[in-house]
Amino acid sequence: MSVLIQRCRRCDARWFPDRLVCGSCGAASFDRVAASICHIEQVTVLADGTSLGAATVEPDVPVIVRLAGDIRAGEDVPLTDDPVAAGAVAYLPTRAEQDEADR
Amino acid sequence: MATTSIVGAGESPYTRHPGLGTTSSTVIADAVARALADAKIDPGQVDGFAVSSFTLEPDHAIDLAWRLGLRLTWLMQDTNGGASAITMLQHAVRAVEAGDATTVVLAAGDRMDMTTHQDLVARYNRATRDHLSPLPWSGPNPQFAMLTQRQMQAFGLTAEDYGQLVISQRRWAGLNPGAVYRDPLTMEDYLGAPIVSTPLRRYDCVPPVTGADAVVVTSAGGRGPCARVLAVGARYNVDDQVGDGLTTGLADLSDALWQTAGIAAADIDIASVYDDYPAMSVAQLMDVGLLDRNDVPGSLARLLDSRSVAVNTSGGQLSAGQAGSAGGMHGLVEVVQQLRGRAGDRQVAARYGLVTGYGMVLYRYGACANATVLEATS
Repeated sequence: MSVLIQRCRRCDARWFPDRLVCGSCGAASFDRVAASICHIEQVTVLADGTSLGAATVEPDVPVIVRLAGDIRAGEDVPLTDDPVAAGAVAYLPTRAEQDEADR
Repeated sequence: MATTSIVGAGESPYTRHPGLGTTSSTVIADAVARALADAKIDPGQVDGFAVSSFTLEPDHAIDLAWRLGLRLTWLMQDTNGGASAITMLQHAVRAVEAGDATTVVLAAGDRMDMTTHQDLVARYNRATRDHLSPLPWSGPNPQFAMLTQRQMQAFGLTAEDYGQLVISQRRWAGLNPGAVYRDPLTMEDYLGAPIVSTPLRRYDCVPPVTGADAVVVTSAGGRGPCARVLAVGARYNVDDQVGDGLTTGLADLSDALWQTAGIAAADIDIASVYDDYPAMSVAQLMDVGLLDRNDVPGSLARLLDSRSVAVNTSGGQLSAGQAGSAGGMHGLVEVVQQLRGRAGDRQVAARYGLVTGYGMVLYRYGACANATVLEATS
């Protein structure tokens, strides 16, 4: 269970969502690396009971995730891009819609 | 720099329930007409026009200018939401200084019913569409709820501290016939309101409304009271969205802003800070030097109690409403009206005013921040 995060080929900086140019070194060449765990920094519960979290993916990439199960701030949680994954997981939508201009 | 002034301001009345014939174009046109009437300027004198609206499509600024009968030498359209008013002002001031235009109208507004609002936030930008909406997610309340948690932890703020800010603005709104929510609010009301996204409650979140705002910028004086632009500046994407969001670009801008204005934060009499959430008002007040970072709860309480700086005297967006892209222009119109002595029952004695803009949540928090310092002159 993991998600793919953008990595700069030149300086190894990680980004989410994807950037066009690396904000650290200015390079425009990227690949992807798997991330399997995120660290939950804050949790907010919506009126309908949905639980969302502000989290970081190693080394320190901030992401926003949906939490399943009783997950608290400070915990390390498995990351998934499967919206219906079972168990105590953090769902991070990673699939980008392709725009007309991208095709 | 100090020769350009705002000589008129107007607001098309905000409403939660727009009528069938109401469109973004009609409310913007109404605000433009009100601002020009306030400035006593004939539409034929206008040679510069800028507009910001989330819902103008399929039209653009030139279509609106055409429909308004404006013949122009300067035209722009801005897309920066809560920061759009001051972005447009910054450009307009330079245009007037450069001689590209002499009389510029800046306008912003939206027909923002519930469906429009939901569509807007779901596809706000690429990051939102692809990485937030599938969560699911229906607007930025969760991001700012978690930012509020970070701010509470970092500065020792409590729900009651935010409540004081909200209640203070509602008190001002009671004096503003244009505010959509004017009934007094108690701390019990605030704390007892339904949770939207912990720890945010109903009154921490702006009510979407339909409406528009406009101002008239010119180098010409002699039309009575006006608001001279002492300084205007902006910062965009200061941290690549990898920070904690507890400071805005105003923190970086602040020193240059006050230096250009030739005054200090302590000289300010009235401020409209962009209040999409109480935490962001607190952040901006800190960033411009109106709150003590070492004692945020105490300095906030003192500021609100003393009214040494009158903050968000229209009631702010939290009580007056957020008319889409007009959110930033609303605060500018309020400070201009105050500095021109036209704020009715909520009028304060003010020589110097501050207006801040903030907005465009890229992924985790807003990436645009700007501010202007104005002086009342005649």
